[in-house]
Amino acid sequence: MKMVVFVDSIIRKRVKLTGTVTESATERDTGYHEKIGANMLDFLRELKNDADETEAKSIALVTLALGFISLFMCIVNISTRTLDMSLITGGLCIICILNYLVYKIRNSFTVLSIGTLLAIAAMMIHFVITGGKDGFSIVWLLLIPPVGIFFYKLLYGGIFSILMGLFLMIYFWSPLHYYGYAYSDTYILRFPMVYFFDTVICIYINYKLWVYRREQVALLEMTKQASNIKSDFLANMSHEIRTPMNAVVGMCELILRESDISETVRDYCFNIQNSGRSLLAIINDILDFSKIESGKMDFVMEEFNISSTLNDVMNMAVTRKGEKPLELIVKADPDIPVGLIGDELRIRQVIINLVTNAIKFTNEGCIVIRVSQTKHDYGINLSVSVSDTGIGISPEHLEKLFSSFQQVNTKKNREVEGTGLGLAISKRLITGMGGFVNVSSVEGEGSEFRFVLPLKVSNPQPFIAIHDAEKIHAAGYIDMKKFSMERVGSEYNELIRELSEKLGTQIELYDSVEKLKEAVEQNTYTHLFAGRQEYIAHRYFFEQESEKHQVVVVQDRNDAIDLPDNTKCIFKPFYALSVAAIFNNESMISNLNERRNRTVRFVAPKARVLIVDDNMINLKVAVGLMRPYHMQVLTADSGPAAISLLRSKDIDIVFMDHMMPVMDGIEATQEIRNMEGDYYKNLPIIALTANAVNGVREKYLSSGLNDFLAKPIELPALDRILRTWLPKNLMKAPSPENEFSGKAGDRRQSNRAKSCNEAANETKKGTDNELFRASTGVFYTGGDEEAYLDILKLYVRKASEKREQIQKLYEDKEWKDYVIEVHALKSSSLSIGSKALSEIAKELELAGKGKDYSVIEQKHDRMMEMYLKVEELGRAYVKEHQQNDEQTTDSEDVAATELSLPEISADDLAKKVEKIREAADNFDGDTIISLCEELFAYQINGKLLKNLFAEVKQEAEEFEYDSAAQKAEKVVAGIQ
Amino acid sequence: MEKRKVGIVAECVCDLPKNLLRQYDVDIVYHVIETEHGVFTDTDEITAENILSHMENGGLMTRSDAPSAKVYRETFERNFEKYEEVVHIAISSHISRSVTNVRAVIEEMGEQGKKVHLIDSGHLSSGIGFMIIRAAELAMQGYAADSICEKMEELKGKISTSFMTKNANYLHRNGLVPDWVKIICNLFYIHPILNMKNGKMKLKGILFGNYDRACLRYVRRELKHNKAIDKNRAFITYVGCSVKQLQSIKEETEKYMIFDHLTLVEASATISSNCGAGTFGLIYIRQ
Repeated sequence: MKMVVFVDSIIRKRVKLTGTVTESATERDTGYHEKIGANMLDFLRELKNDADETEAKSIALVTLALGFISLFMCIVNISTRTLDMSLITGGLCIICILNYLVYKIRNSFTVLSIGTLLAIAAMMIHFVITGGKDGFSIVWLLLIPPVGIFFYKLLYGGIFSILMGLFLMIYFWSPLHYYGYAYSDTYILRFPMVYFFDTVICIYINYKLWVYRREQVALLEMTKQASNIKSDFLANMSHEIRTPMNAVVGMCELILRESDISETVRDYCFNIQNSGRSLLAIINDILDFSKIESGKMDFVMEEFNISSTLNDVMNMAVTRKGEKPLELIVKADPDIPVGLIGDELRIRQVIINLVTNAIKFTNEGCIVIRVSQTKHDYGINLSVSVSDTGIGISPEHLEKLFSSFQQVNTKKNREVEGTGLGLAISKRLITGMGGFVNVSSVEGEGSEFRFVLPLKVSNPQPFIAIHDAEKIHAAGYIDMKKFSMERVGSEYNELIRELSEKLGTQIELYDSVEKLKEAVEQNTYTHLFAGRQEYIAHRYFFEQESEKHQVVVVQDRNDAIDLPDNTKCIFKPFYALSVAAIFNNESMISNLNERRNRTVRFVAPKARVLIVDDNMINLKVAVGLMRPYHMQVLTADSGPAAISLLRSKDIDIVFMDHMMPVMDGIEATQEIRNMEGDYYKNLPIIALTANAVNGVREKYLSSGLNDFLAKPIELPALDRILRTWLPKNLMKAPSPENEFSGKAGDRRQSNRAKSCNEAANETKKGTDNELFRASTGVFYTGGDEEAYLDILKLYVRKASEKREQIQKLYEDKEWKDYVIEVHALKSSSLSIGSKALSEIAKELELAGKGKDYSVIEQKHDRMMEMYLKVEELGRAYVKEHQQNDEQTTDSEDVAATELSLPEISADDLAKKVEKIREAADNFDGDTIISLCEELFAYQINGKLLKNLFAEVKQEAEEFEYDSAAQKAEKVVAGIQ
Repeated sequence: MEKRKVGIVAECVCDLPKNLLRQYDVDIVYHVIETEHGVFTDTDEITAENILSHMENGGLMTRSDAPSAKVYRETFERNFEKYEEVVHIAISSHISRSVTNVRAVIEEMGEQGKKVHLIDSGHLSSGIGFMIIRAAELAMQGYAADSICEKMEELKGKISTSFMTKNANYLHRNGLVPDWVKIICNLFYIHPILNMKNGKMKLKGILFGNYDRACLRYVRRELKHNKAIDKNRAFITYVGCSVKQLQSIKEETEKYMIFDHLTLVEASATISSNCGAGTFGLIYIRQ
């Protein structure tokens, strides 16, 4: 729409119709105080730019004005027939106007300044020589310093004023003045002095202003530096926080890949992973804040499915809601396309932000999340609104709601925690992606936050579809009286109506069991839905009905009841996706979260991948994530190790960690790129880092890396990277025989990959004994098999001693100490993977604490038998694994990791052994063990010190310090 | 269900608050705003604050547009399910192509189209709002569509729709005034007052000086001769004004005249995108 504006003599009259395309000016408005969310740096920068622009413009205007004044004077002089003055003023007019035009065309401030000043100087000189009208008028020359310096600043204005002063001095104090106007002696003597005094004062004042301005610039620089320091600090923090989070999220991913875990564990683990992801997202929020502020936010446009986003949001919302008496009502339009293109992480982050905010400020009632769409030529506008029945926001507070670091109404909400950044970030993220965020609120009644985002569509199929929808006829029963607010009931009614309409099914909602019973008698239903409370209150009715219809109970996760086999359960929130899963007779677990049972789309048994990371846990996680692809995974713990490995092995793709000691990922990449041969120039090297701050991606790409994979590694991202960078001929479709085969390809697998496969095999077999399950032990030790093996070794070594001790305490009836020992056995047994032993120990511990000694007497022997059996099984497991290690060591096929270990000199080795001797003399076992572990990281003459010093370490662990030192000395002697 | 006689359809640029629209059962069609990222529906998807903030931050508003013929048609058809006839009150034909689109739809609809009665309001914003309220009241009283149209023609000339803009920046941004007018307006703190006359927007006057004081002067100027003003209802329709500013404007209005219903309402995104933050209007009916 265009308004028609008629502004007499000022505003040009135009008539425009709505819909006519107009180019909008991008010029920024100068009303800074109005600017919403302007950050200080931008503000200062713009202020400075505008000041510079204004200076140039004002001088241009002065020039133009001077031109017109000269023209006027010229006309006056012509009319009074003063020929020379007419020529001068006319010339000046032409110079000024030409000068202005040159400035407009070339936009050169220097040309403008010099041109104008020369013109003024010429006029002034002529004015002095001719004496103006009566000689007195030269006092106007005293205006030259202040005006000149004001407009032309110190450089041009100052020099000009001084030059004019010199001219006055030379002219007045030399015989030259006899040729011009006959000034009085007072003028001749004093005028140059007064002029100079005037000039000096003006220069001084402007110098002070200049200094002040420089200080301002310095302050601006300091602010910039402080901002950079903050960014650096955040960068380091990001690495420190993200690395352990990487392990948590990654390990969860590994657990979720295991096939023999229960659905409950899968669910818990999935929640841990989700929460971990969200925490990482929050860390990213804070890190990205500066990026958002500076407008340099990168959005990763990838295909995503809104159902996955909604599930993540729901899981987080349910966790956040906790025990609050709130109903989460989700109204999702099933027709939203299944394939959308956008930055899913950011969209999820914003929805989580809005939902979390609603939960924070709502104590009872409901939170309604509505997800809808409008179709357009380019795709859809995705609209998400989150409304609540919370405390609401006053109009005054609404104004500053989206400002950074502000939580509104803080006096009322002291118990509510938060950074105050959430909404500010959300708004910036959505606007950054081309959308808009809005809020409306009534104090005391609730608020509604909504955003709309234009998205492209990759797959227009609806994200929820019901098979044979017309055959579905469902009835629901919710007792609306149980809700403290009427709105909850009306929202549920509306939800059911929408579900019925959009899913193409027939669903009716009843608010009393009598009405439901009546309806059931009159109609044939396929499904009966009931709330948990309603089900409990009328259990008999529903159990009877479950013979005829599919009964579905909608309940909260945290107080779910057990249901008969023929009754299904869906967890709140009750919404289109979960209802569709029931109607389609699909498993909720597999339907709701595609990530939980994700399978890879290809395998590449012949591909060789090198992962470089200094953190063992991260290496383990990365190796685990690569396992389903059946690639040959090699690892290196440093840049030099990776380089030496690349010299000897053909690798197809390298994942390079950024922050490593000695040589970081970028240096290592540059070194690789500088190596001779096209292979090293073209080898795909992918940055693998937890550091996700400003400009990192660009830095990687410009440093020779090919792509970027953020830690914690997300499977879809890894999948994308592998599909992009692995040679296509190495990839093939997965087949069942690839599953956990252990024979990954025709080349040798790395030790680590092999051990992972073995662990998987072992897990599959379950050690054929429920008494001892190594995979459980590995799980309890954080997924680190080496750590597990160490713990198991220690457990086995101490077992006989402990058994004797427990037996003695039992015989002596020392129950207090007995309980302590049994308590220790309970936890240690669980950590090595013996749940059964742990459970019986727990039983005896409780019996001991409850002084129920008869139970101890009944079960003690059974426990001791189990203990013995576990010891034997554990010992066998350790033996088997040690043999594997030895075989691997003796074989030429030694691990790539170990081959690449650095060489230690004989002198250094001797020094270390001397330290071992000293420690042994001081009975300092810990130092011996740590020295041995240090030596494990080296090799000498092709022999791995890990093997040579393993016995030394073992002796130290068994408190045989002298023997440990002797063995160490023997090793040195042998080498020499 | 028995059909009612006349239904009223309006456009979102009528700037009526939701509760009034619900109260008078008025169906709304939405204008659209196109940015470099996508097309957004006014009010539902994009608000005045959104588009102003977007443009302040260097974003482009390539165009705003009247609802498409398809949208009009769907709306009319929806209304024919409840009403025998429909009266559509459109924004002034001199400033939007809504009227043209509706005419095309009426032609397309053939016989059914004859039951759509189009009124070119000759106003914008809450000026149309007055007509809608009156039309809805008449419809509720059982007046026929033709009679409502006649009454609306009478009412048109009595409505005073005027706005004071903070500066000429948005008029300039939308190509309505040249550079130098904008510079002069900013240099001398000129606040143009624009008025709807014969369906066109014209300059009613200018106010100089501090914006906050100018707002109060505008109110005084409008209500100075208040004997001719209908005291029943008035709208203060604003764009991007702070709560404090609105409060002082309301107080100033009430100093001169107590209206039975004085409604403060934020203008739609379409209106806002053409006049900019700090614009507000006191809209009323002359007796």
